[in-house]
Amino acid sequence: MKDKIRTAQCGVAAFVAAAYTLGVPSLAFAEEKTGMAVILPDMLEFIPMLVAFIILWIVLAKFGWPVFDKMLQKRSDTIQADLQKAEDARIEGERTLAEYKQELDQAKMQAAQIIADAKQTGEAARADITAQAQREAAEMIDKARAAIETEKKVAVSQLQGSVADTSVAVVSKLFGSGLTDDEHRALIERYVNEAGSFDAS
Amino acid sequence: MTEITAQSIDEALRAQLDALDTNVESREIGTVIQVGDGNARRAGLKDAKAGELLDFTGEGGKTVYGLAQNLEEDEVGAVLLGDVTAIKENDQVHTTGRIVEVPSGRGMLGRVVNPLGQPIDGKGPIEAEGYRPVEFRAPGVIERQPVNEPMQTGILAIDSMIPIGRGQRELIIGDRQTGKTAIAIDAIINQKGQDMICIYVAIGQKASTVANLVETLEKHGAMDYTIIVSATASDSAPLQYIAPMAGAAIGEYFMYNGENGQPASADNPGRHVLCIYDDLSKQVVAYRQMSLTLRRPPGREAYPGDVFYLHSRLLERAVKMSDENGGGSLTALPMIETQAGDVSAYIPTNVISITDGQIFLVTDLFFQGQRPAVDVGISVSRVGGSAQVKAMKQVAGSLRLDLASYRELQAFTQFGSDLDKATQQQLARGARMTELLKQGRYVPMPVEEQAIAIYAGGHGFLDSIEVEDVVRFRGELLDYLRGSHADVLEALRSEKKFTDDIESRLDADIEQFKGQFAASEAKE
Amino acid sequence: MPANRYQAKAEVDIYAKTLLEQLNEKGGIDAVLEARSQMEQIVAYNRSHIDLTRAASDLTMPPEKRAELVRGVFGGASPELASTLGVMAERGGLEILPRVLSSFNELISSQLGVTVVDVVTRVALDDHLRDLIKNKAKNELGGTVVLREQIDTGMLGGIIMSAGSRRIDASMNTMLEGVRTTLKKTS
Repeated sequence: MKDKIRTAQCGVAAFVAAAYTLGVPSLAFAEEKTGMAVILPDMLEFIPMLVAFIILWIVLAKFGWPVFDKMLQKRSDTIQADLQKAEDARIEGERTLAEYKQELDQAKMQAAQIIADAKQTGEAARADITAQAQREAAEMIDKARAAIETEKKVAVSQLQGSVADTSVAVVSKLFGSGLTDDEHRALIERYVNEAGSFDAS
Repeated sequence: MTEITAQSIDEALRAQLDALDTNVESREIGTVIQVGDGNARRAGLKDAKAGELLDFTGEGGKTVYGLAQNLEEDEVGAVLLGDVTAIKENDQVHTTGRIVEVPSGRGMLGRVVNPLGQPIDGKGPIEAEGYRPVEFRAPGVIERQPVNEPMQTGILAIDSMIPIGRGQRELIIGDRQTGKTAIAIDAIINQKGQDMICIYVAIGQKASTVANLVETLEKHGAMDYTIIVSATASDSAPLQYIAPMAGAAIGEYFMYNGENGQPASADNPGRHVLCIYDDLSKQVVAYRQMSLTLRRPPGREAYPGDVFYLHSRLLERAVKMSDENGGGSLTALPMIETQAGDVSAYIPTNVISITDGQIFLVTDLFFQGQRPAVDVGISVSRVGGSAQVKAMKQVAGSLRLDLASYRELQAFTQFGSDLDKATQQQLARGARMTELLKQGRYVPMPVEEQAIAIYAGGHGFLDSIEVEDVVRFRGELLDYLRGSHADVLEALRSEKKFTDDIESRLDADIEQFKGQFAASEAKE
Repeated sequence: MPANRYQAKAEVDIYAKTLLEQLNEKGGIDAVLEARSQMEQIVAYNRSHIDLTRAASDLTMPPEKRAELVRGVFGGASPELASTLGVMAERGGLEILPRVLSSFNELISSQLGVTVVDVVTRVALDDHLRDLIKNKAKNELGGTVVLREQIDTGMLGGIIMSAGSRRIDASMNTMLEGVRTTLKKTS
């Protein structure tokens, strides 16, 4: 508020001074001069002009200059700040770049490591798979052998069974009609003698 | 290698003939009075003992074995273990003086046998190393030691929160189609290389189901250490009844005998056996049928009075032997099928009270996609905790807490009130932990990987991952660790617990992987 | 049949004892053995044919009618046995016949001191063999040994001897079956 009032006062003073200055030339042009007098200051004009000038100067120095000066100062400050910012940004940029470079290096290293790991793992896996495949193959062969063995055993037992059946059938045939009554009785006697006791528990 | 030559057969026959005993002893004989429904009543045989094996001679000299069950004043009730149609009235029976025995030994591995130990897979005869009685009294207190070794199923939800120890009896219970058998199969597959012999007893199942199972196990290389005892739905009730006991007997052979076939002792360690009874509900139904046709009085739900004893004496045979007796073990995983989730029916309550814990499988969870559909809230393991690996124990405690508070909060959030940040965080953690427990079939996880997965969840590494990505994250994290940081896995495997060093390395590794994981997600 | 098993046993014993005494008085040991073998046949027949047993215990029929029916059916048997069966039918049924038979067998050895050995062969025995078997049985079981011989031409050979509930099966068929089973076993 105060600034505004001051600016207003300043303006009024300037106006008065200007009006005064403008009012004077009408006097100066009143009489024609010749010779040196043309270029020499007419004291009658000069003194009020000087006074007006001085008043104007004082007024401006008092009120106008600080404003102007402040403006300049502000402008220079802004420029200074911008420059500083630019400098900071540059440093930041360089730092980031360095960081990125480092990270990139790290990433490269990591990638190499991963590849190496993967290779190793792959190698191990391959060895594993190969071993497993071999084991499985061996197992399969074993199983197949076992199956063949079982098949053979089944065949043998079947054969054995049929041999047994046949021989028993032959024996039955022979016994049924092949023996005389006396032979039967002799057999019975043998069996009775060999048989276990009735009393055995 | 066996050569099929006339000579080899000749030799075999001669050897058998040399061993032939032509001595004729007098035998106690009886006569069949009545046959039907898989059992027979016969007069005579005053010397017969309960549970004795009887030899029925049918038409054309065909021999069928039977089991003496009811001893009455002037007759004996028996069940037939075999071709029922071959026996008629007035056929002769004689006692054998033996009780029912099954052959056992290494030759049975990879085979499918019936409850009498006879092969039914067409792969020829089995060479038995020894015989074991089907009914056997379980060892007493002195011969045992507490469960102290883990039996890893390879299933995250079970190994972390419902740990099973070697020698334990853990019931798997649930409705039909909830994945009971799947858990058992995964457990069998996970025993590869664990020096464990698995016996899967299929009772009253479809023959096609059993065939599928054999194929699955073969595909995963699990048949090499597995014996399948199969009494399918078409087998007679007595066969289904003795099937679990036969399975236990086959397993006991390995437990009571060392690798060299001699009885196990301090310097001849017995082996470890996992026995799966799938499932006992069918066995008990067969036993009910048998008992009713033997005219035994029916009790609750028409089961005979001794069903509790039937199951308790079977499951009591699961044991961890003391070191003086070889330190072998027989772990039993019986299964019970419930009807509409009713665990308070007669048989489920019986078996729950006999076993050392139970794994509940719930239909709702199954259809919500939570598989295995284990309800961790009501599933327990009463003794397995002491057998759990230390690393797992360290992380499982927090998992259990997270899940418990999650369930509690979940109930509250249904009221739709505004939630504070801490609650939201807990909910998010719980949702991820629940997701973490999902697992596919036939992909068992080693215990250290399970521990790392739970560690990652428990230490908040999953909190920033979307719930849908949790399973993928788990898989890729483990792949990553296996590929690039196998040393951490190795350290955990050898230390068996989370040391500060391992934890800090693991934290760094998981963090590193998380960076990659996020990147790969953005790319998609 | 009474619900009390002691009473039931007493009833069975009465049937067996009466029958034994009557037969023994009339025809001695031969008649007893004859009736025994007839009774065995009847029991074996009844096991696979339920009709007669059912008819004999049919409560819709008057008791006299049942007795008459049973006597008619077993007219060919010894008269004492037929009348005993008739009384059984009149008083309830033939279900207790197997128990009467076993009681009867016990009484033969305890009351008469006779051991019955059933012998089945392909060819008829001669006296030498009879003595041999009798001596063997006498040494092992005691009492007076009575042989009941039976010839079965379906047998290949050998002998089957049974006394009481024990049996020595030394028949060719059984032995060959044993051989066959042993030979089929793979070592």
